[in-house]
Amino acid sequence: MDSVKNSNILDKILKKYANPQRSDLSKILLDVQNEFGYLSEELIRKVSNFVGVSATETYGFASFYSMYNLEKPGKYVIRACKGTACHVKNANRLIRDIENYLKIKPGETTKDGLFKFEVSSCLGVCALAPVLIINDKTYTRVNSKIVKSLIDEIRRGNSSGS
Amino acid sequence: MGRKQPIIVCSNSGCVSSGGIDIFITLYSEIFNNPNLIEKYEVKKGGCHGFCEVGPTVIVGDEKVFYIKVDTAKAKDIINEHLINGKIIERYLFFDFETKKRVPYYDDIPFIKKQERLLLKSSPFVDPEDFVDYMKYDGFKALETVLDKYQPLDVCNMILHSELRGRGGGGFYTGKKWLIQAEQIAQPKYVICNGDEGDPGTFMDKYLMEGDPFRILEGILIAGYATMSNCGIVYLRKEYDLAVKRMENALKILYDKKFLGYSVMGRPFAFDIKIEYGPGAYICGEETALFASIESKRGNPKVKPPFPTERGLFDNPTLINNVETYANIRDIINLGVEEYLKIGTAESKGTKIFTLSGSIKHSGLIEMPFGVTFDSIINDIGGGMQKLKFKAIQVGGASGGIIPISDINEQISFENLAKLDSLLGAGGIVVLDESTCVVEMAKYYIEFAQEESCGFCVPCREGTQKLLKILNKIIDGEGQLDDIEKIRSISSFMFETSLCGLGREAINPVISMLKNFDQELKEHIKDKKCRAGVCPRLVKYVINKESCIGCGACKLICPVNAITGIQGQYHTIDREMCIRCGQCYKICPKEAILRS
Ligand SMILES: Cc1cc2nc3c(=O)[nH]c(=O)nc-3n(C[C@H](O)[C@H](O)[C@H](O)COP(=O)(O)O)c2cc1C
Ligand code: FES
Repeated sequence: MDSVKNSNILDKILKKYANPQRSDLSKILLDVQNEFGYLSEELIRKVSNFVGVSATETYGFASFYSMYNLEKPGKYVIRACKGTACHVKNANRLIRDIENYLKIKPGETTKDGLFKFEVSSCLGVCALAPVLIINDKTYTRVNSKIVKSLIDEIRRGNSSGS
Repeated sequence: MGRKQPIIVCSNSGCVSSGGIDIFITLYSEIFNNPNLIEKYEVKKGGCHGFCEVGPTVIVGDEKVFYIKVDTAKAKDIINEHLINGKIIERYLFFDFETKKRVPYYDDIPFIKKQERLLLKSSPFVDPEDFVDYMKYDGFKALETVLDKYQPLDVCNMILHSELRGRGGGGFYTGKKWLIQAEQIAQPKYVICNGDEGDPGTFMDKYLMEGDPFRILEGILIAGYATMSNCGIVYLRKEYDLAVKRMENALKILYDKKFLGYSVMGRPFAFDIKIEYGPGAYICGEETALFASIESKRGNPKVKPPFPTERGLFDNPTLINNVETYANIRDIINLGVEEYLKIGTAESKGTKIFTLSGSIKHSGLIEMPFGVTFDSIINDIGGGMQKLKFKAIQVGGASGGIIPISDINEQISFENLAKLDSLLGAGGIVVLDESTCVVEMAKYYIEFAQEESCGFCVPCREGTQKLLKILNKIIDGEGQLDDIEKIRSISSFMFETSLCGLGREAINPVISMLKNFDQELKEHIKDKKCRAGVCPRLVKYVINKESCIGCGACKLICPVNAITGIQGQYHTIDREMCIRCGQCYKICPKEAILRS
């Protein structure tokens, strides 16, 4: 059932590209990711077929860039900055504390699928370092305590809700 | 009835992240619901004033009363006390520690007053989402001038004579590039604005795109006309979501107003601009890798020549400039080349936007003419150091250098920074205090380069790995004197043989460490000592019996329970168990913990 529905959605996206060029690959992948949240093996295979490149090539392309998710991302993506300005404001420790608190390394997602942790090389809010982004919201001048309470809050909100 | 007085809420990402939108909504709805106020005031968004640290800010009226760190409660006070009762609210003003006085007006804030702004001058007062507002401040006057008064090649020559140099790092003369692009006959010809901005500690391009999107687009349009190209592309990072939103909005308006499309401003000049997203890789800031990413390929740089103006995007002629480079264009036209040439130094004309961050009192966005000294940026504008003593300046991000205190009076310009074995890069300045270890900093940058290297060319891929290994060894206390020579030879190998700027310039932080911080490096190697107390293997913590009062704060905070002692009596640290995290050192109220 679900897969039928999914393949309909995919067809709809692909239809927008009547004469797919090799250079449309990035746009199609982004469209597909925006719809499905990530690029599963199956999706990559189908898109590759459609554009006329090998799945390996598509995979090699997508894995080169941080914009594409090749695994199902957590519901909340926490991005900590380790850029210079944040680095000199102890971002290292912050990152270590988040790793320990979530028990995952950067790039990984927690088992319950709630959090994905990423580290960025500069989030462009350096004047207010250290900086952290959770989904679309930017938090500035954070410390481990603040982050832990943000995480706790999200956990609470998600355990009572469902 | 006279013109309405503006109330401007800063709406760049720094201020937005600390609640700027809520403040805008509060002010807007309160004023909207008050018939007296709505006659006198208009609430609007403004671009960035650069003093991000005190945001969110609100600027009231033509006299520009400057309220800092505003929240919704304070916004209501501003309505009641200032707008209704006509009194400036002292307690919400900026406090100048130097004069021990509150500063009511924006123009008198030392951080602002000491700058000499050209590109950022009007941006704080112009709504970045409002075309009409942009037009009020000489918007598109430069475009109109060139369309009506100059032939394309004349415009290229004007930019050449202005001696404008690219702000994206290389410092190449913009006019030269434009002239070569103008000569190309293959079609289509692309004009790309490079807004990839991946350098850590740098954010001016982001703030320009968020705060003054029409200015950038005006620059791109003029470049298109001058080089007789028709396809514009703004390339920016998807992560910069507010910049993306503002750019999309500005483009839509320009198409609606017919400032883009088959006949720009009704003149016989056709130009389109679209947005392409950088898919997130530092290397894609490099022009040929950037093209590859738009072509849906892996971002591997190519050997130059051929240069982009001959064979760029899809092998067609492509002019690529940095965001800030385009931001300069309108002022060069409006001021005239003569006036523009008066700003700056012999080989670096105009102003430069710097991003100031690190252990400095006031951080944010600043703009000064080339030739300004580090001292004046740090001490006059930045207000000096936060707590600890000044140690060094990191300038130019991953391709820049670490500049010691002895060079603090040096001028900032393309020519002078090259002399100091650094690069201006994009103009990110991070101020470092005594608690930073230069060796660790060098390692930090090499690690960055190693992670961001596309892995395509061997010298860069292997060189960064080898350098990282050696630096880690030194940090772990296992360095040997001949490591210095090894670092030098790997660096020069990387410089000579790397394919692109990433590998060639990645060595700058290391080279400047060798040159400027020889002593500190040798202490790490010979004496196994890290004077900043950063390298964990190279510091020891002991408790001074005499001054310890036995409060137990250190015992509580120690993550590995290495500290023992009875309440009220002196405590001790178990050397074997201690992981040298330094938390006890920081928390001790009596400074009884000694670090050596
Ligand atoms: C590794 C690397 C990263 C770069 N990143 C950027 C960048 O983020 N933004 C930018 O404008 N130029 C960047 N450049 C420089 C560009 O290749 C190009 O020279 C520049 O966009 C030209 O514009 P300009 O002449 O106006 O400076 C980078 C270069 C290298 C080697
Ligand atoms: S260094 Fe962290 S936001 Fe720029």
